Amino acid sequence: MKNMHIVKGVYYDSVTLMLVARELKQIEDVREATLNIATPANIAIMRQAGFEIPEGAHSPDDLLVGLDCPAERQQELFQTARTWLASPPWKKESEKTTYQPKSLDGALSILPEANLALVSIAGRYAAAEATKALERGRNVMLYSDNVSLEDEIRLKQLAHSRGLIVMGPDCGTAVINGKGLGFSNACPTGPVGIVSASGTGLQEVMVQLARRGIGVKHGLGTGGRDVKTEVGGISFVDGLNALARDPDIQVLVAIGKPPAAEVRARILATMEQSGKAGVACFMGDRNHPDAPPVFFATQLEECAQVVSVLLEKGKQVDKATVKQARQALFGSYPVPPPHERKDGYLKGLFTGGTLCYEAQFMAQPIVGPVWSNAPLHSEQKVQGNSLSMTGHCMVDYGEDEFTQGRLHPMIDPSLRTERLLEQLKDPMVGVILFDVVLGYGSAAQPVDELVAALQQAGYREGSSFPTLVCSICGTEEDPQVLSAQRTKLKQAGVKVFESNAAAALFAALLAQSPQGKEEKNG
Amino acid sequence: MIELSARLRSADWPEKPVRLQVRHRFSGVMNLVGPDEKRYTLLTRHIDFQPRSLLCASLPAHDATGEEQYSFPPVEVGFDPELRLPFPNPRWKGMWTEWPTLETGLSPEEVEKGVQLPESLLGRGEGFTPAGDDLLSGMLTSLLWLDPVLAERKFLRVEPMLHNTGWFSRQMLLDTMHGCTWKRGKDLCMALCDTDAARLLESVASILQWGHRSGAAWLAGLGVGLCLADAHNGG
Amino acid sequence: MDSKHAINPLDALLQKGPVVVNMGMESFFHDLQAQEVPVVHVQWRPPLATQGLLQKLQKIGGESS
Repeated sequence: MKNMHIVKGVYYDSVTLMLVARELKQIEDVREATLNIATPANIAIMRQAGFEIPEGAHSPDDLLVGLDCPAERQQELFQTARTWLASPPWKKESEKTTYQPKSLDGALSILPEANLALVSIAGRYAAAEATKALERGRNVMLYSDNVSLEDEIRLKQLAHSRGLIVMGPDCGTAVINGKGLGFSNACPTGPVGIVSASGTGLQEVMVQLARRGIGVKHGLGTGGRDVKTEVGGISFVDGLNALARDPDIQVLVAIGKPPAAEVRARILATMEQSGKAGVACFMGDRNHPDAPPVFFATQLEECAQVVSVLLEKGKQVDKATVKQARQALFGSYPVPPPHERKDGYLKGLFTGGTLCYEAQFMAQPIVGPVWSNAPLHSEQKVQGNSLSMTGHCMVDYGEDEFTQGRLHPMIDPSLRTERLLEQLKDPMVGVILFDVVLGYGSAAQPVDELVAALQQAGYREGSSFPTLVCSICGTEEDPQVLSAQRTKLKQAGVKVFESNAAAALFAALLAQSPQGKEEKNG
Repeated sequence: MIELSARLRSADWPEKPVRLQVRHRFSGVMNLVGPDEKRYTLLTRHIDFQPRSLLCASLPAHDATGEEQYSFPPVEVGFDPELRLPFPNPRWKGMWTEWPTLETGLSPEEVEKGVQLPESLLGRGEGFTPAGDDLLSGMLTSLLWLDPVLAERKFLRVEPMLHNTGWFSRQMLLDTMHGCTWKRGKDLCMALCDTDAARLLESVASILQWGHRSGAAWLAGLGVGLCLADAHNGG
Repeated sequence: MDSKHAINPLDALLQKGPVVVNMGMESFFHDLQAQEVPVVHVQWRPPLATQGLLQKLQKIGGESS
């Protein structure tokens, strides 16, 4: 029996709601358990799932607890849910008995030397808490999304006026003095300072630098909207200036999708005037001639390559040397022999949004238009529900339509794994490309479920199955250990590459059919 | 005559043997009533000290039901229930302003009404000691500590209405009104006067572990009194 | 702020390294602890009941003379 219980005026974060639902589903009598805040979207979803929700005013401060279980157990299991919400069963006893402050001011009384608030609460409350933190003289990393543009501008102007920074909204990654905040990889520290409007973009560049033995002292995130005209790159420019003032930093790096024209100009001017060498990596941009001391890249590994040359040769390095280094990198990317090429579509399934974007940029010149829920051009947006894919297609599973009531795929890749296995059975698919992101914040066992399923399906390289191609964004020092994950994937028959760009290029070349896809669609 | 294996006593535990009758027996605690109707408590854990209590190696095995004479050897004072402290460190204001809205089973409206009409809290809510009584006790503790004039005004309303709640709570409230408190509560008040964050967090946790929600209700009340006193003093 | 001598708080953050108040996902708190970053976790609650009651306490306290 499906029954909906409503609790008015309570707050639990989405992760707690999901974990309690998961615990409930492990009880034998429970066919389904779903816990959601009462937004119109969630109400619609739960009604569709067969739960009756009375008409009337519901606010996001109400909690919907949907239980599909025998009628006689409904009340008891609802009480269990409430108990678990208040006192999560997975928490260690010692955690349950320490007092954790319930407010920013409470926390600041305990830790007055705090200099940063890391805010990942629900978007509708995040701006107010961020404002409080700024008013109390603390910097903010705003992981939360669903913060309005107006609030973002106001927060950043407030921060700027006080010599503070707001990293975000929707900022998932930052590194300060070698310490990772949010999703981040265990990388060495060194003479590089990065400001990035892209989360996994920052991760990938840091990992590629680490592979070259180069460390990063600070990697500041700004959130994707910072480089739009309305926000004007406030955080981006303040971040670059702060890095410019740091005597330990020799090279500045700017990462993001191509910014609005006036923001681009401000960013480049800031880098030029910094007195340090710089690399501007605007992904998917058209090629810009290098203008020492600022050099350009349009791909993430390329960015790391250029940084390494600048560090080696100094900021007055000549353009030809840098160009050569780029060519050497591109020339090193593996190319599949013709007999390995596959007849079928290229499908990309990503957990990192920037990696999905870069992969499209790499693939498009080779296979033609790539559809996506986060496309390079709006005309290539996948129609309807992103779960249906047509032609060459790459999906970012971190986008909103997949993360309602669900953990981010970097934390829990099970949905992406499920969809990937479906693609494996599709006779129209020739190549499947995916990313694996390691590090703090990411799943402890990111590939086990996939590898087990591949084994069960009898997947083998060179079989009639689609070819599986991936890259791992990670280091040996990450909790998941890069080599361990690489070994698991290779043993399962997956082709593993050392960068997202290399993997995307290889996958695109595999899928490039001599006749072209138009005929197949015809 | 029942001989108790005493270790330490509260400062207000009688010096001579006393006739007591068992009221409640739990695994580590016994509550008894004396001829003066007051509560006397036998404990086995130091942390559970409260007014008129005796720390024993073990509780008497014998299941007495009527009045009995209880004797005990002379032992040192292990706890002084009287709360005489300087003002709390204003650094902790961010902390204590969290406490009035802790989950106690009482709604914010009930809490607000209780602040204006403290007698409305008596006997209200669930628990061995009803949440309303715990809240009231916490509130009176901090008010008496920081704003005795305001505290007395509140007591005057509560005292004639004490029959509206059970014996144990009544005893707790009477002790509170005389400026006496339980060890967990006193530890917290002392931590509030100190500068040590770890000490404060530990003492708050100790209170929250008490009972099902009794500790939270008492802490909420303490927070209410701290906020009122703070506002009254121009904070 | 005396801009000549006082250090800009963003620069101070970069120099000193992060000392964090974490509000929201508890996994971030654990990851910061694993890196030995000083961090306190806030079991954040929205101001559904808080502000109303606190303001009233402020008012009642202030009036009680």
